[in-house]
Amino acid sequence: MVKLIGSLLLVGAGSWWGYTVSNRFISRCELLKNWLSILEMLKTEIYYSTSFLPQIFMKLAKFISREELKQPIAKLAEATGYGSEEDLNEIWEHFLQEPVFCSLKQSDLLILRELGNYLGRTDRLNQLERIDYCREKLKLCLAEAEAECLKNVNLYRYLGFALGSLVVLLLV
Amino acid sequence: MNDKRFSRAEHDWDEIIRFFPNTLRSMLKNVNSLEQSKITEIRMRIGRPIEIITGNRSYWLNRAGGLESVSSQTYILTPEDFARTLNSITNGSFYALEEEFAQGYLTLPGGHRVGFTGHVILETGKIKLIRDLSSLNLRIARQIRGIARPVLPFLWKDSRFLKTLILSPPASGKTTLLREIIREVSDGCDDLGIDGIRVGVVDERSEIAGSYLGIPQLDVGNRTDVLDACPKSEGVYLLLRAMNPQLIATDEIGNERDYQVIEDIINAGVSFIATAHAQNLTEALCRPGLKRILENGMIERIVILSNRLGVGTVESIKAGISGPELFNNRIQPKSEEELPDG
Repeated sequence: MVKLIGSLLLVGAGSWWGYTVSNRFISRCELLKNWLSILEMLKTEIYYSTSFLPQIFMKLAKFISREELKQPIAKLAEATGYGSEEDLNEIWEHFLQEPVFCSLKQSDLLILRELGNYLGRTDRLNQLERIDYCREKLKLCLAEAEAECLKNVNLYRYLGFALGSLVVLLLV
Repeated sequence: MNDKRFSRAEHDWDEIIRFFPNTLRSMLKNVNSLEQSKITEIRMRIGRPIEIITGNRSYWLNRAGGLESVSSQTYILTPEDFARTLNSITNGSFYALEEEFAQGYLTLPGGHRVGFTGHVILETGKIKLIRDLSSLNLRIARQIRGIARPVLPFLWKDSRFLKTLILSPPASGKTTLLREIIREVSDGCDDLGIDGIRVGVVDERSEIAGSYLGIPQLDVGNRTDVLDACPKSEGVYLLLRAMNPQLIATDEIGNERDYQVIEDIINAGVSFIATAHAQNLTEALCRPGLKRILENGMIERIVILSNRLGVGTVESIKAGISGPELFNNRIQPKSEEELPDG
């Protein structure tokens, strides 16, 4: 009985590891899709309503579908309000360090950091160009992430289960 | 961001100093509370001390928040302080203020105005942008209720508001007086027999209502509709078409095109009140645009303000250019430091 429970636990742990690793691929894809829609909204707000960034972020926090992103974006809106001690670039950097973005690769974050260098600082047309440029780059990242997803998600799930089973076989 | 910005401004000191970064905020917070209420302008120039203006006097801010008459012991503004202040007052959103940067000023919540200077970029002879900013001036907006009371009985006759022009040199309180007249006639004053009327305000430079995000931050009355940052030539016709005003108010008229606009207001059966820069009637007649308006008999009341006995001194009220002087006893509405803007 103890052996059976132990075996099940080992297989379960292996599978859990596999799921965790594979979920990172899925999560990166979802986050990149979220970022694409965030940037689209940002572009629309800057172009049509010329709203200030804190208002835009507040609106984003309200309308973004992914729950985990609401809080960090609301924090970003608050940090960029009047009397802000930090430069927008510094605030943006802190925002990108939020745990919710841990599934993104360094290459994805680099693109977003680059946007932070220009965000709010130039005229409206240049802002739109920068956002478009960032979106195009993120689309490439998304294509790569989806390919990785297709290749790796099932692989890691089976690998986790297989590793768990292998350990059980070796121990029995 | 909170809803406070949408409510009418309370103009307490904390609300004003929140636009500054921490280092400056802590110094400004320590300014003597008696002085706080008198401050009308805060002027910042890179590499220079911070200038604080109270009415007709000027001081320098020291590190402890004290106001000095000599600039030797004062805090010198660093480029970083200036950049952070700029970042704070613009919410880091320069793209949203392109127009304002070309005009050289922007309005903050509470109706306070920031003017700035720097390197001017021209395009076809017009200012396209001011970049590399080096100095700014925060003008604190304060509303002084009741200052229009002594003037109002002269401007209201037979249940209608008379076509009025307020003349004064710069910084003599004409916008503050105009705002109060608008508020009083919009809300109505039973004691003066004034019924509330619908007022349309074309606030070209956001000075009258101090609108922020389209919402007036200063009280301009319950029956007042404000067209913010709108040119007079466009705004007046929009109001006439869409809002059915009984009185149209606007600030600083004086060029040739304004004559046509005012003529159209009158022909539409609507009254108006406007302000113009001029020391007196003689000076006003030297300006071709104003001369045409005044000589055509369009104006029924002319209110002349000065700084003679302090900001907002009413020098005289005339019944039109050729009419009698209805008032010349010199009402002094408030003490010298109470009328800060316009």
